[in-house]
Amino acid sequence: MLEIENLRTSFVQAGKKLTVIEGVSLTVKPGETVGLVGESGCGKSVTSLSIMRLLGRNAVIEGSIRFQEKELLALTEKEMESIRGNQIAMIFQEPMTALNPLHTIGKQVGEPLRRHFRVSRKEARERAIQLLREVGIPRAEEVISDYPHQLSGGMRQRAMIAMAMACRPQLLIADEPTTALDVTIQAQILELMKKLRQERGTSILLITHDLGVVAEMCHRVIVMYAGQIVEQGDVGELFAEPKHPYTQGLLRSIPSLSGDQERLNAIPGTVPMLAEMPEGCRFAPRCPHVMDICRRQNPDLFFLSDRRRCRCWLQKEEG
Amino acid sequence: MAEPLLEVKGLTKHFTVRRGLFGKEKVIRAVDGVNLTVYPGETVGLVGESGCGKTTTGRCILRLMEPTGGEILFQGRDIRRLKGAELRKLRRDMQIVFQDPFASLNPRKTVGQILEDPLIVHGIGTAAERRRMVEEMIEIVGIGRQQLDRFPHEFSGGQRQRIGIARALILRPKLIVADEPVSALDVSIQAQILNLMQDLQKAFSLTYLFISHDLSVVRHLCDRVAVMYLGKVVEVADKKRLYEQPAHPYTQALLSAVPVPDPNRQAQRIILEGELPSPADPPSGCAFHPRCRWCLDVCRTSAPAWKKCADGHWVYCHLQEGRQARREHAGDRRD
Repeated sequence: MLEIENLRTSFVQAGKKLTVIEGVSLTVKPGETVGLVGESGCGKSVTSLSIMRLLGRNAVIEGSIRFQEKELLALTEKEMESIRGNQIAMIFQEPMTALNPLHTIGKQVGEPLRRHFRVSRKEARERAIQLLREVGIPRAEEVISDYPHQLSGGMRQRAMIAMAMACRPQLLIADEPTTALDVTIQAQILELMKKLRQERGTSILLITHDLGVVAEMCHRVIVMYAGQIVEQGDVGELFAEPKHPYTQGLLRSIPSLSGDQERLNAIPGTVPMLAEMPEGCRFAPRCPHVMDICRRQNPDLFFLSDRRRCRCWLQKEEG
Repeated sequence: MAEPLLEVKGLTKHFTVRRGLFGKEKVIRAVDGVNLTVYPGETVGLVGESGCGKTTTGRCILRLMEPTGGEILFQGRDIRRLKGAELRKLRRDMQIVFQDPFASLNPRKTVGQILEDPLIVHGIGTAAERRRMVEEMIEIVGIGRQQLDRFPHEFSGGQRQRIGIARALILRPKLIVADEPVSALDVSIQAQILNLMQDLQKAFSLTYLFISHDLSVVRHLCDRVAVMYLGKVVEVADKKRLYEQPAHPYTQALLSAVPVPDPNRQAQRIILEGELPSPADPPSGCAFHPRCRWCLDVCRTSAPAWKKCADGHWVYCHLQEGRQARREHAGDRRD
């Protein structure tokens, strides 16, 4: 359904080109939920915005992004507009900033229908009420006349999901959809996303920093570090046996809700700055298993099996 | 057990808001009768979702906000009565670490100045002595002393939080109120800061009141946990007891809602219906009753009492009274 090959996104700033994403390749199959995880600044959000072509003018996107055999990077802005919100929809982390404060909820939820299907105002309104009901908003016929600030965070996120689902997209890109919400509300929203996925067979690219959310929602997971994919695989395998030292460190640094560890295994150091990327493996300065070769040369994303890949020299040795 | 370091009794903080110029005044009960005891050397977690009043409770305890009612006893003295020099002396003993390490450090001061300020305010040492104390403290939190002349923006989030901790620690306080100190940080950095806080607790025999919405972090760090809902502490217990045998339906739902990074674990989730009611218009009876799956008639009309379920395990729930009555009843029959 979605096939990204060798994506490289850079920003031109003051005559300098800073590469934020380096050689990202990934696929999302029909009906599949793929998690894209990593910490702040690893490039997971820029990846999603590159797919939607929603980056500013100073962004240079190279590589290939194919959606249902169509090359998105070759489309004109107008053609892209007909896909956005229609076949590919997106939900964002902060529904307060993603929704327009000047329009009513009803107008915003109905807008994609008006735009892509040219339905009448009346019909859009009726469909909007129906959509709001489907995402579990009580008193939907009143809420459509409300403005975003009149709703709570959880309700706003529901409204945004209703808007994203309006045109029955084949692919939903969810960028930290529950990060701004409290856990009990997060549980409601995750439940809702599962329900919609089941009813409609929508594929989801779920971008998050929360490995708990990934374990619960995703079939496959892709781990990013400093603008590159470092590991990918099926959720069960990857959580049971993480191969990349970064994934291992990430999983070990989460405090457990059930166990009692004396100390957490923190990853020492911090993520390298964009302008100061290490020459070899980008994780080498923080890696507990670092070898000479790691400092000299960045490893490829080696295949460990047909579904499992890992960017680490240790895996090359083993394979 | 030792004397409590901090005892909070019936703490309330109400805000009055007016809608429009001639609108009716409304009272928002942000904190509505909080009881909490903290013993020396322990870490007590105060957990709850946004708007439950946990931050306001923390601020009132430090008198960064004036409480509306209740008592706050620190080493047996009611700090609400303290003024001037006495209050200042108390502040040496109680310090705070804030959530946002970007907003809580003055951007125009160097790290050295930021750390020296509390010493100057409290009239401690000569300039040379203060410099030595600052240099010592910055290294304790894991930053080199050669970085003291830099400004906060030159540091990463994790390092800034280390600076925030150093600032709280430099007066050698007894109690540190940490308000979501790791929420703004990535997990790998979060782990570094949590480890640092544990090390410092041992080294300086600190007592922490750790305010957080993250139940996994609280389980890791705390000895005892208090759960807040709509301005009240609804359950308190030892960590192990609270996580393994939560008694309040809200605590049960809260714990079940946390996504666990283990794809094999089937989530037995209790989904809470609806949302947090407004503290300006709390529900009658037990404030949790509209969302509670065990709601009884009595819950709608009368507020529950603070009931003991086991040693050190207290809960604010009618169900517990029922359970207790049943236990007593069963006991009677056995006699």
